[in-house]
Amino acid sequence: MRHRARITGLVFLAIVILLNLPLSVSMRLKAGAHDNVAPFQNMVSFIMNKWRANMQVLIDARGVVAERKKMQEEVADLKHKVKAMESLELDNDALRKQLEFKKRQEMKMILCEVIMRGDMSGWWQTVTLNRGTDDGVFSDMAVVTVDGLIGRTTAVSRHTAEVLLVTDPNCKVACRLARAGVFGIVSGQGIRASGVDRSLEMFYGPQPFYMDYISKGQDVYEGDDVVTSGLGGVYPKGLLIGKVARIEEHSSRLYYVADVLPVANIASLKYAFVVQKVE
Amino acid sequence: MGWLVMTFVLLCAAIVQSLLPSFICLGQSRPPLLLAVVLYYALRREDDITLVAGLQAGFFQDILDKGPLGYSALIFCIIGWTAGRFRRVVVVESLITQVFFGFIAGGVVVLGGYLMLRGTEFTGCRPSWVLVKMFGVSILSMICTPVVFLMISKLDRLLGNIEVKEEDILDDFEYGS
Repeated sequence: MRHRARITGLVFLAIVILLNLPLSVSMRLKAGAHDNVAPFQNMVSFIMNKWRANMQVLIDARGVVAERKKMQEEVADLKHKVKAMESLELDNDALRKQLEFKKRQEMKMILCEVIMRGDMSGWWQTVTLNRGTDDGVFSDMAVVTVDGLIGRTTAVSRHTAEVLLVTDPNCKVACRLARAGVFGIVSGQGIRASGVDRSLEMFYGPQPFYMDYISKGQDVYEGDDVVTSGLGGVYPKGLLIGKVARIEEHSSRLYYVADVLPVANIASLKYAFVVQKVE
Repeated sequence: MGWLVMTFVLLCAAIVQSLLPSFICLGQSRPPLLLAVVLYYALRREDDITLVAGLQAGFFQDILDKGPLGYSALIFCIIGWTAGRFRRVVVVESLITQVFFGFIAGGVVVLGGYLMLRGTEFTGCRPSWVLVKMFGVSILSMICTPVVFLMISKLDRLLGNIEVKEEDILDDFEYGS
C-alpha cells in the first residue's frame, strides 16, 4: 500500500515537473524525439510514395503512348519558350545594368519531402519535412511550393522540421496586395463546413484565408494577388499567398477584410522548399 | 517484466500513432492508440501501474506533438484513474465495455486538451470544430480500443504477465483438436 502511494506521488511530481519545464528543455526533448521517429516516418513516406507511383503506373498504362506523344510536343514547345526567355533574360540583364540595379536579396531554396501530416493530437495544422539543422533549416523560415507560400518552420531538429501551415489559425502573415500595394494581415481559418449551407458541418474542407486590416480608400478588387510584405522578418518579400475572393467592410467600418483563396495545394503536399534568406 | 512490456507497448503505440494518417472529416484526428493502451492498463491493472502508463503515454504523445509538455500526461492519468474506479464492476473482456470506455475516453481527451490549451497561446478553433473532433476521436477510439486490448492481452499471455484461466486452456485445446 505504501509502495503504491509512493508511486502515485512520484507520478504526480513528474507531471508537475513536465508542466513547468523551461521551453528550451522541452524543445530539446521534442527535437530528440522527432529525430528518433524520423527514420520510421521516412520509411513509411517512401513506401507510400512507391505504392502511389506504382498504382499510378498501372492506372495510366493505357494512356502511356498518347501521353508520351503529348509530352514530346510539350517539350518542343517549352524549348521554343526557353529560347525566347533566354533572349528576354539578356535584354533584362542589359536594362538592369543600365539602371545600375542590384539585387538586394537572393533566396536559396532547400528541397524537402513531406514525411508526416498533422501533429499527434491534431490541434495544429502542421507538416513535418525531412530536413533539419544539419541541412541548414532553422526555425522561422518560410516554406513554399512552386505555387506559393505554405507556412513557416517552427520546431526544427537535426533531421526534421515542423512547418506550421498558413491554414492554421495560429499562423499570421504580414501581407500586401500586389497591385494596390495595400498592407494587411493574413491568417488561416482552419477547416470549416464546405459549401454554402453552414448547418451541414459534417463535411469539412480547408477554409480560405482571412485578410484583415486592409486600409480603406484603396481600389481593391476580387482576383488581386496577395503576396508577403516582408515586414516582420520571417517571410521574404513577394511570396505569393493567394488571390482575393471576396472583400467587404469590417463591422467597425474602419478597414476592409477579405477572403483569400490559397494558391498552393496544401491538401496534397509531397515536396516543399524551405527559403533561406541570403542577405 | 510487466513494466518493460508496458514501456515497449507504449513506445510502439506512440510510433505507430505518429505514422497513421489523420482524418480531416473526423476533426483531423488520428486513431488514439496511446489512449487505448492506458485504458487497457486502467481496466486490467492496479492504480499505480495505470498512473505510470498514463504518465508515459502522455509524455510520448506530448513529445511528438506541438503542444506543451505534461498536458496529455495529466489528462491520461485522470482518465486512467477514473476508468480504474470501474475495474471491478465491469466485464473487461466484453467488447461492449471496451467500445464504451473507448468512446467516452476519446471525447474526454479532446475536451480536456481543448480546455487546457485555451490557457496558452493557442488561438484555437471554433466550438463546432471541437465537437466534431470529440466525435471523431471517440469514433476512432471506439474502433481501436478493442483491437489494442486484444493485442496487448495476447502479448501479456505470451509473456506470462497475466494468468491463463483453466477454462481458456480447455477452450484452446478443444479448438485445437
